[in-house]
Amino acid sequence: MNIHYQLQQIRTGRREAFTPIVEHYQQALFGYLGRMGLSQEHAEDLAQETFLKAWQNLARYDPDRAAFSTWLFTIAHRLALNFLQAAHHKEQTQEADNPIFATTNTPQTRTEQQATHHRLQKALRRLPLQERSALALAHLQGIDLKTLARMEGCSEAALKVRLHRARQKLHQWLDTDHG
Amino acid sequence: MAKSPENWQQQLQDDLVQAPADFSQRVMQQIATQPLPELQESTPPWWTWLAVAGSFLLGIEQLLTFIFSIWLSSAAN
Repeated sequence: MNIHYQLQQIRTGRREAFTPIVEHYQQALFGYLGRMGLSQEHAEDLAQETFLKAWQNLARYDPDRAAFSTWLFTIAHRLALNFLQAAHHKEQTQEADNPIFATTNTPQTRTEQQATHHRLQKALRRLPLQERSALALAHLQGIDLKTLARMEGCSEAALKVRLHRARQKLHQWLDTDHG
Repeated sequence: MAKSPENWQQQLQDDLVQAPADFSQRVMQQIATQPLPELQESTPPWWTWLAVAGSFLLGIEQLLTFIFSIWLSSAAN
């Protein structure tokens, strides 16, 4: 997909030229939100909000400053962090089981793969937000470490440390924990 | 019993949540209610400016050569 062509089409008033952009980035965006530990329902809400914000701020996008994917995932990253921080705060004040992360699988219907999936989601949610965020960003294709560090607001070295810690914890929890 | 590390690492690589089949339609329904963004024409890249500047200098050089040749032929007579 040629993003510049699509933007040119939108400039001429063709609103539907945004559809290929959504279709091109939607799965990568869901992948990122899933690695941030969000449930299907909340990932859908945040992904919709990301594309809506991208549309509303399209005039501010400068191709000379960043690739479109970097710009889009920066929006998603900020929305996800705000959402998770608010959810964390809510969880602390209510001291209740947080429905934000509720999964629909029941133990009876879970296959081995689904069980691993469930354990992985639980483990991701146990990670501190900074480490989880570093891990989720690191899986984005086509964005270099320097850009990821800028998105995360830290140095490349700090990002590597967060990433290493996150992977180490997942190894520790998932290779020993039965969840 | 230790779990297979490859299994969860593969799942981490794969997407834990999926985009619904009608997701882009749902987004576009929302976009339809939004005003069109006022996109600016993007600035030409630096090599475009370099080409324009180069052409301009070449034109000046041609003009000066022409004037000089006129002066030279009139001075010779």
